[in-house]
Amino acid sequence: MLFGSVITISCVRFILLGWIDEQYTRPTMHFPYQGLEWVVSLGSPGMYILFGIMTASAVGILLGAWYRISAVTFFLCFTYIELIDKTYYLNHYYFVSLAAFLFCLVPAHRMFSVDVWRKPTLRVTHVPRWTIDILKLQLGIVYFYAGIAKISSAWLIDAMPLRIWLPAQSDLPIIGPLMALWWLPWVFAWAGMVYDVTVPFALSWRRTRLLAYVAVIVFHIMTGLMFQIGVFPLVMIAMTLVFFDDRLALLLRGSTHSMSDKSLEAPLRIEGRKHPLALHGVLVVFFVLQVLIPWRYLLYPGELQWTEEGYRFSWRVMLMEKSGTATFTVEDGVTGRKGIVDNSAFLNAHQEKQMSMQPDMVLQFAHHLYAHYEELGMHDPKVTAEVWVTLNGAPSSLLVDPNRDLSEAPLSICAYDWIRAR
Amino acid sequence: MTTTFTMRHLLFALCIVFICACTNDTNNTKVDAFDRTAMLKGVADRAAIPSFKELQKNADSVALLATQLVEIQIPTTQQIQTLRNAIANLIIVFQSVIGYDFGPAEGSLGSLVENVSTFPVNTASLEDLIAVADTSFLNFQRDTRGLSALDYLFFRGTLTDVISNFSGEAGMNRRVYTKAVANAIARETRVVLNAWTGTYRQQFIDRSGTDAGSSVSLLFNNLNISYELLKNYKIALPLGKRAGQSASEPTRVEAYYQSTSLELARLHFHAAVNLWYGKTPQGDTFPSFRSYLKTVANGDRLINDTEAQITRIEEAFTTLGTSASLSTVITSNPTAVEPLHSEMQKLTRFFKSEMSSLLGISITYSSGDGD
Repeated sequence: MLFGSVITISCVRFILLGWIDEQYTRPTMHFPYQGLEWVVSLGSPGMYILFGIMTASAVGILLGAWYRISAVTFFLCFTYIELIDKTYYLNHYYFVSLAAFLFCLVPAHRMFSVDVWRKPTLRVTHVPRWTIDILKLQLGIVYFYAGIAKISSAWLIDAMPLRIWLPAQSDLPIIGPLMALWWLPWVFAWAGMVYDVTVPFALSWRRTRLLAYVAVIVFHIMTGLMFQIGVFPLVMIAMTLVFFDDRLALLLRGSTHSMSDKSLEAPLRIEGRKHPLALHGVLVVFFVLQVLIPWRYLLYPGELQWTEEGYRFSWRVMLMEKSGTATFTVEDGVTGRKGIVDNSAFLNAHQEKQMSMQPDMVLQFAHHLYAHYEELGMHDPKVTAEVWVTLNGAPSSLLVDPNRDLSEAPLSICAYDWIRAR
Repeated sequence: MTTTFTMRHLLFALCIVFICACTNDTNNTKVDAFDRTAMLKGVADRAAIPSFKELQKNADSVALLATQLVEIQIPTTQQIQTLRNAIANLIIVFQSVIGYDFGPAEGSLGSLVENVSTFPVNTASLEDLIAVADTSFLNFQRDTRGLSALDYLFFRGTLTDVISNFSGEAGMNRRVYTKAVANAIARETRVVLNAWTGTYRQQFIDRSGTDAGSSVSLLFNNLNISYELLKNYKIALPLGKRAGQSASEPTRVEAYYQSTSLELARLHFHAAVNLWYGKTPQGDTFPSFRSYLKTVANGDRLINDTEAQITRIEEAFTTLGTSASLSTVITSNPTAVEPLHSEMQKLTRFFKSEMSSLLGISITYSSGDGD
């Protein structure tokens, strides 16, 4: 129900902010994931219809109405939208996708729901333990990996990028003036790391649970105030409630049934096998992947934050201050005439910002430019890029080989040899 | 148990902090609270508002002269010369407001810069509109009005040619069109100036954060938009450096008929750099991006890099001299302009990605959903 509320709010917010147009129908190019190039923007009104269906299914999850269909529909719509353009990738969108997948598997509509009202025999008071545990495990993975990603000399010793971010927040009410304290970034860096690594365990243990939840609220409200991270704090504050047992659920339920009613009631449990084999298999594969995917960066050479090969889908959240300026040159293969590209003629400000610091997007944009200018009559254009990137306040360095014809470099999951070391 | 674990880590953290404080040099640990409100006040009162006031004065003067012209059957050399001078000044003064093309300057039908300073002029369409006496401006052909239209109407050919074009019944439509163009510029400027001297000033100062939509972010983004406009459209375009161009296009410069494009580019550059320094044309100073950078980690390094690059661009301008127009240089010796363009290109990353990174300013206009 909470998940339903949060995703419904997110959908409505996205539509009201006009982001469908800005992000999906107006741009002339998108950055698809490799192998998923068939996931394209449906344009207008297609994207609006898709968002409409997604919002309706979110409401379905919220009300527990036609729950399974709603959950599967929401998962498919949301994931499709997120896969259209990787410049819009956000860790918490990825989390919502994963959580939506898990919600397809659990019976989260068997108590206070429209489905129970339609078909009272569905009603149960107890669900199998695994249905709650998989959500706890997923949340635990998010926090724990976010925590160990912070164990680096940049984060803990240099307090970067917090030393950049905190002073920029000095206009916040009440706590604003504190943000300029020179030692505060180190305190935040260490506290953030310790919080992320320990909070899944503290939430799991009954004696520390309440304290940990207070920490969850404080942490997410603080980061929500300080950084532009949209609905993410709300998602996490709502989702971590799953660590609490049914007494909280009953408290939230309030006056409709009192605690004493509950004690008189015989427990209603889901009949049948607790762990169908297929479900078991799906969950094992799912969580093994979840545990392994964040480590795939070890297969690539070079500095992870610089190359970003294996960076996404790893819970590396608000970890670096990175920004780039990318200048592309197209050269006619026959006449040799060179011209500089105006990136903003192809990309919106957000896409350009993301592209200008991430090698795989630089490559995709180069391929797009090749196709575009060849269609305009250029002969086999050579596309080169001078991409100056600054990481955590250090002087800019070239991200890619500026002499390499990127139009001839293929997209690949292997390491790119044209990425330069910092 | 977990609580003590946390406490122990926190104590350890404090130790590390202490060690860092003792070992690091002062430049690396300094964080002085920069007063962004003072910066915004300075920008509003010392730069933006005085610039718009100066623009208004010049725009009113052109509008008045153009209005008087309508009734004159045969303008004198003196009258046309006075108008020429006033128009030339107006185009010069306009360079200093290009960096403030936000807030009240963003009209529903485009921004002040888009509406007033689009170039090159579309002479054929402009003559068509004059021929049918259409002064409604109910179209999106911005290249038929604004400063480039005035440049065309008053500077193409000799003074005698201009007088002849504007004279008698045959010149009536031209005189009426000129009046409409000049008054539109003055009217659009008035809207912006009134907002700044009215409620916008306080709004601007109050939004002292660094998030998307804050005044610092608006100012930063517009500094970059202004700089890119200069580099890409005022230099690279006539030079034929843009992708898709098959040759240089020396006529596609600002104020082509006045032949002042190079001087205007230099003024445009100075306006952008002055905002970064926090300097008025009169030499007064106010806190701006440079003093902001002074207060942040690694800021001094970026200031040095930026200033060194600004000097190289100044030198490239100096090499090109002041006598010839950009069109002339590009026609006779295009390679002479190349260094100016390449040095300008190098400043972009200091202005754009490095400064936004160090100051923690949001580059995009709409707020994102974060990381």
